[in-house]
Amino acid sequence: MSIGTKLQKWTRAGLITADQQARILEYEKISAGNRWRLGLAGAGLISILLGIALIVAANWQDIPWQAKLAVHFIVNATLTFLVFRWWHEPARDHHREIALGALWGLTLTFIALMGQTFQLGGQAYEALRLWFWLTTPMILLFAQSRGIARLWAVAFVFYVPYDIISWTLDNTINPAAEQTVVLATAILVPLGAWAIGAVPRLAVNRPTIARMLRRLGMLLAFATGLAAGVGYYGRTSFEVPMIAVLMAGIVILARQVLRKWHPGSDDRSNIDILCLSALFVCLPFIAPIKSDVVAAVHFIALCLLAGALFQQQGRSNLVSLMISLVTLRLFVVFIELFGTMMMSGFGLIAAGLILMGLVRMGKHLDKILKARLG
Amino acid sequence: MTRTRILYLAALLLPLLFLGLQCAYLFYVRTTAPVYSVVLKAYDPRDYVYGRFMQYRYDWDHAESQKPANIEKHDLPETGRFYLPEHAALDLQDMLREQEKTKFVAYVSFMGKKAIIRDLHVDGKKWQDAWTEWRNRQAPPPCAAGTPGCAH
Repeated sequence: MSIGTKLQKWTRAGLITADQQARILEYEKISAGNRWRLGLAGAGLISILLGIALIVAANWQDIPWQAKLAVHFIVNATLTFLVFRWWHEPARDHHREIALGALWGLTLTFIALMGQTFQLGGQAYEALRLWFWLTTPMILLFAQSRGIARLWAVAFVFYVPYDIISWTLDNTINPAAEQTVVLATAILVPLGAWAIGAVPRLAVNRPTIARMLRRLGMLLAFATGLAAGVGYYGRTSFEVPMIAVLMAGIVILARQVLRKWHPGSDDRSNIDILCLSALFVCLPFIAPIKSDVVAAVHFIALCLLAGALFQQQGRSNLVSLMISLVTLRLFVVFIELFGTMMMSGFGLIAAGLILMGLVRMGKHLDKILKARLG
Repeated sequence: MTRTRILYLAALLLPLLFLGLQCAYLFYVRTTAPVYSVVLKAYDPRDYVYGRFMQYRYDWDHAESQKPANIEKHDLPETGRFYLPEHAALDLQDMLREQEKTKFVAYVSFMGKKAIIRDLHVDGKKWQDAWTEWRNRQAPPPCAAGTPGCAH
């Protein structure tokens, strides 16, 4: 919905006056005025930089390796100097963020250049590992913009589990150890990301990164909770079931600790969703049943419970997402279970009636509880 | 300078200093470490050259291969890769397809148990020379203008 349509809706609802509507629209028009000029200038700059990069690339083998390394090092050193110089200059915030982003990316290309020059023969993930850990302190301390914060947080929640799991798989062939590390990573990394993002000092000093970590922690926890249901399709045993029970215990304990540290109602709901998802990750490992129905129940139950918690928070977009996921999963269930259109038709009607019944029952229970409390 | 300022500066300088020192160390290894020649085997008969780099297996058992005395055989690296300019990589792939019994020899130094390839020879010549020869051989023979069938 465009801002104009939204403002009209709010004006009709009496939330804002017609004068306020006009003033907001005028403000938006002025603030968007530079977009055209800046956009074109940005596109021109990118075009020039790409052109230079292509000319250098075309003559790459003719440039002595010492010159390649030296020029790259000098560029990185200059960017480092600029980031530090513009650190406390609010007027140069944009410049600093661009310099920081460029330095971040060019550190990776410098590592790649070193590998190429000295023929180190390493793998791409080894270069990424060095880059990520080497630049993380710099990004955490200097990044202020949403763009860099998002990129770093995405790299953190996806790269760190990948790195832990791939390192384990490279260094052990013991299935119990492999499964334990995979399970612990799936549970602890999202919890850890959220907990780091909720540290008050980080939340105050680095609000963008902290918010991003909390969001991505929750997203990863929920996605892992749903993905764990795949275990019901093929798994009939788990090497160390007690580890899963222990992990579930740790999750319950973590919930208590985190709720104590973060007493706000929104935070508590988020912690509940995180821990609920983590418990759902443990379930297929505790009870390794090979069943399509159980896999579907796992998926739908997590969506329903998370949806109820989002409803409490008043996050209507996430409630809609949960409803969409449940609906989609129901279609998949009937395709998986019955196959024929007739049977799937009956099945979908039955599921629809069950869902409507559940909603009605929930509403009724809510009414009774409110009446008792009130 | 306050402690916070020092911490921030250290975080900012960490990548630059670490990579700068690493470069210096690699340069030192490159110039001082002993060099061993090792015969190479194809990594995969279908894909000996992978675009910008060549991936290969070290043939430590080959009679002509040298290895450092202080590293056990099972600790020696099995595979490696050699970065090449784009056109050279593609040509080397063709060379390998067309030439039979081409012998690739790598000259490597060791950094711990990790092998760093210093140079590559093809049939006793530096790979650049072997590549240049192969490219010249591919050029069509010159023909006089006006000769039937000669495209000028």
